[in-house]
Formats: sequence, structure tokens, C-alpha cells
Amino acid sequence: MANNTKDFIVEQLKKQIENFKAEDEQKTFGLVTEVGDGIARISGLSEAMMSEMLEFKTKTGSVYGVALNLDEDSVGAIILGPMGDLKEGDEVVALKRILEVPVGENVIGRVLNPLGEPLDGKGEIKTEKFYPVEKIAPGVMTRESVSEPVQTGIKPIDAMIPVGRGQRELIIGDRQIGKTAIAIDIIINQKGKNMKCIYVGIGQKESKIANIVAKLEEEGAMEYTTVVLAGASDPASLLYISPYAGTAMAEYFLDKGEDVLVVYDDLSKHAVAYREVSLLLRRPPGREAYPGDVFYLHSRLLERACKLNPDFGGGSITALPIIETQSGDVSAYIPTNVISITDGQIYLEPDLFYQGQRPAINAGLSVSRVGSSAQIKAMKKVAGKMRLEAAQYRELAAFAQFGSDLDDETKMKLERGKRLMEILKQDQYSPVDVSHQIAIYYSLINGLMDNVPVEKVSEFELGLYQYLNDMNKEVLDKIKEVGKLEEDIEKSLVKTINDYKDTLDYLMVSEEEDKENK
Amino acid sequence: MKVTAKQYALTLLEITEAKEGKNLEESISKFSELLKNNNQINQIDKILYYFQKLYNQKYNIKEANISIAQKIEADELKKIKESLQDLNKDESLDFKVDIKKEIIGGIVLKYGDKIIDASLKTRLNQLKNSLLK
Repeated sequence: MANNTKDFIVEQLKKQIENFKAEDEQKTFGLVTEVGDGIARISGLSEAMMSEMLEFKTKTGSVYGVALNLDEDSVGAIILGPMGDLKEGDEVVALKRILEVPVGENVIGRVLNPLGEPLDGKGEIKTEKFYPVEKIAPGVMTRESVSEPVQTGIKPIDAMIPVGRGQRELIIGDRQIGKTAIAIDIIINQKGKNMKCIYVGIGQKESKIANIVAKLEEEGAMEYTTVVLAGASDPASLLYISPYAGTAMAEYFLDKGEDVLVVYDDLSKHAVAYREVSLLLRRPPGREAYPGDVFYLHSRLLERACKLNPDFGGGSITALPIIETQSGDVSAYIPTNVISITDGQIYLEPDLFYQGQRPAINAGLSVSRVGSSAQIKAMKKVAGKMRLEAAQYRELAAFAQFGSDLDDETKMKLERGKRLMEILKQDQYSPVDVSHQIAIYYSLINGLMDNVPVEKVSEFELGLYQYLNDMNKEVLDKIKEVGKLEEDIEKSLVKTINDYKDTLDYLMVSEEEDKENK
Repeated sequence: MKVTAKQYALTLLEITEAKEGKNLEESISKFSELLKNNNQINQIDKILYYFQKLYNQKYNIKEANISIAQKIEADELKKIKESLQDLNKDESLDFKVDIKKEIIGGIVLKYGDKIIDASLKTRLNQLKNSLLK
């Protein structure tokens, strides 16, 4: 038996070696003239292509890089990963191909570096296909306007700033304000919604990513999520290519006609990494020392987000870039650039955050330029009125601070506005289903919540979801199925809400009823 | 104005052009005098690098380097040289042969900035990578 296995192994090895064919190609080579800070300058290499892969042959093995600067008699390259024993005079061979990453079903559920190497210790990733990191975005003829919603599960976003499949929605705000939290909540809510997710961490602390991965695993979200990480300790070259690598992985699913959500966390650090690389390559600095092509850096990335028409598979890539501002300054260079590229932004405001309004989404400054065509009809109906209600409340609240003598109508608007603000609050890691969102918004705009005390709103809300789930599941399913608030659905919904209210003991009693009771 | 190494090399090429014997020596010593006066002696490596490049460019010469693991017969070497010359018909090749034990076997040909790596070492590495896949 043992002999048999031995023979088998030998046989297999022989076969593999037999199949091995080597070809001697004429290649272009050069010599390293300068090396340091993750950058190498190479003489020779006369036929190098832009962003071509280069192999640096050191004494202890090969190191890989990418040609970025093609000068008159030298080539500037970034080195991907640690420099190893690379030194002046080492030989460099141009590999005649552009940087590629492994793509396929196998990357799902994994944590990878931007080169597609595993970081989670779960073994090598075996894929058949490789996609180039840089790719031209799909053209006009292949595209279609955004029509399907991404259910984010975050109440203020789904109602006021809806995101559609294929949209690019920027999440912008100061540090520590919950930008990543929103992105992670959205990923968690994609469970069972036919969506692959790719989270690209750019210059993030590895501890933060470890937390995120643990949370995603706990929620079962790693079943459809890939994490691409270029950590804070990785060289700038890896940070620079990581969002492109993440997008390449997304494009595999796009080509299969599937929907993908990509989160870039965050593009400010990406721009900083690119600035570092550019300055080291001696490209002339511009505003804030960024090189002249930072706009192109982000526009070529975000243009790859798209919704393809059915002739081209009908897939989509939804991009959620994140930008960190310095003390709320959205008019800095990178934020304005990315705002102008994306189809809208979710602006998180420190004042709201400290008032306890979390997620701290500023409904006034946040917009979605394509979103409303990507809402289901029922949501559109309730959200329209709700947005009006919110705007009126903001206006009234500003001057109601000065006087107390207000007419009844104004008072009522203010009271309802307060309840609305309570509804817009939401805990982390607890996405709300669309049908639930419609139910709660419906009860607010139709005055069904006017006698719920403001401080009891969140209790009322959670109770209502539970009650609806237990007592009238059909109406929720119907809302999702039909997508519209038809008359019979509306009646059934109102009845259930009223039934639920009858079970509560904290409702306020209006003055008239009070008199009657006496 | 700063004079670059490339400009020095070009100057050297021009002043030495079509000169022989004593004349040539004189020009070279004048050139080194100039370098000394300009405090540019430390640039000499770079200047020579560019000079070689420019010289080769001007007279259509390519440097060709043949690396082998061990000594081979003279007529074999001649064959290799001839086939290399066939690849570069328009240029005259300036051959250098060196023995590099670390390539184990086979041959590495370099000419201009082209390389044909047919060494046993590279082959073994390729085999290793294909077996690991």
C-alpha cells in the first residue's frame, strides 16, 4: 500500500514536470539606480509601459513593482510590499503585463491585501481568473439609469437620501462620527438581498478592521463580504492600489450580472498615500501638495461604479466612498473633488452627534442625485410627506426658541417634528427593514403617534415592529411584494397600529377626552 | 547655471571626436582640468556612464554580454556570437563574456537593454512556481 502511494506521487510529479514548458523570451531589462522610501529609479527599461509590472531580482528572491514614471532616460517605480534586499545595481525585468489581482467566488468571506494575498490565515486563495487592477470604466452604451434600490436599513437614509444600485454615494464627516458605522450597517443589511459586498480599508488601523471582521462574522455578513485591507503600516504603494484592486474584484461579479456594493474607507487617506508616492517620484506638487492628477485618481475609480443594461448582463457596482473632513471643512481640496464626482453625499454633523442624534445625518446638506427613482413606491409616498414635515420642523424650531405664544397649528408641527427627530435615531448594528420603516413613517405622518410621549418614541417604535411581526406579518410582506400602499394594505396597517396602541399604557390623553372621562 | 553630467559627457564626446594619439591625450587632460576647476570630479562616474551611452549611440554600437556557468569551446562561443549578431543586424556588437557560477547552467544573453534568460537557475525557479500552483 505504502509502496503504491509512493509510486503514485512519483508518477504525478513526473507528469507535472513533463508538462512544464519554459520559453525563453526576449525581455527588456534595466538596472536600479536609486532606491528608497518604497520608490525605485531604474535606468534602461526603454520599452516599459505605463503601470507595467516590474520584477526586481534581488539576491534573496524577487520583489515586484509597478512603473509609474516614464522619463527620458529612467523609469520611476513603486515597490509593492517590503523592499527586501533590494539595492542599487540590481537587475529589473519588465514583465509585459499590467498588475492583476485574483478574482472569483473564492475571495468571498476572506480578508486580503491589495495583491490578493490572504491576511486571515485561512490558506491560499485559489482562483482561475485574474483581473487587471486598472480598467477603463464601462461606456455610455453599456449603461442604464439607476432604478433598483439598495436597502440600507438606516431610516434617515432610506427615506431622505435613497441609494440605488449602481449609484456612488459619498459618506462624509469628521473623525469618530460614525462614517464606518453607517457603511458596516449597510453591509450587514444586505443579507439575503442578492448583493455581494467588498469593504476596502485604506490606511485603517488593523485593530479596527479586526473588530469589523469579527462583527461581520457575528452577524453572518462575511458569507457575502470580502475585506481588502491596506493597513496603516503598509507602504503607500499598497494603499494607492487597494481601491482599484477592490473594484477589480467587484468587476468579476459585475461581469456575471450580479450586484456588488463597494465601500472605500477612506479616500482621504488614499489621496494622502498617492501624494506621498507622487512627491517621492518628484512629480510637481499642486494645491495642498497634491499632484495635478488627484482628481483623475478618484474619478477614474468612481466611474467604474455603474449599472449595466440587460444586454450587458444587468449587473451593478454601487460605490460608497468615505471621506474624512478636518473639523467639518467640506470645502477642502479632496472633499470638494469627491463631492463633485459622486451622485450625492451623506453629511454627518458633529453638532447633531453631540445632541445625541445618531446617526448624525444632516438632512439638509445630504443629497442623493439619482436616488428617488430607486425607492419603492410606498416609501416614496411616506418619505415625501416626511421630508416636508422635517423641513417645516427645522424652520419652526429655529424661531420657536424665542417665543412661547404659538398657535395650535405651529405647536402641533413642533410636537410632530420632535417625534420625527426621535424616529430618525437608530442604534448601531440594528438595520430596520423597509416595511418596518414604512410603517413607522406612516404612523408619524398620519398623526397616529401624536399622543405618544416624545421620550417613549423609541420604545413605541420597537414595540410596533414586534407587534407587526407577530400579529400582521402579511401586511409587511404585502408592502414589500406590491411596493405600493394600496387602500386595503393601508387599512390593515392602520388597524394593526391602532390595535397595538390599545395595548400601551403610556399614551398621553388629550384634553377633550380628559373632560369626557370626568 | 549648473552643467549636468550628460552635458559634460556630450562635451567630452565632441572634443575627442576624430582625434588620435597626442591630440586625444591633450583633449582628455584639458577636460579633466575643466572638471577639476569646476569641482565636478565627483561626477566622473555619471559622466562616463553617459559618455559610453552617447558613444555607443553615435557609432551604432551595442554592448552585448554573454554569461555562462562554465567555460565553453571557442567555436561554440562563436556560434552564439553569430546568432546574437543576427538578432541585431544594424548594430555592431561589443562582446563581453563572463563566467557566472550562480546561474548553474545554460546561458544569459544581454544586449542593449534586452535580455534573454535561458539559465538553469531561472528554469528551476519557473518549475518551482508551476509546481506550487
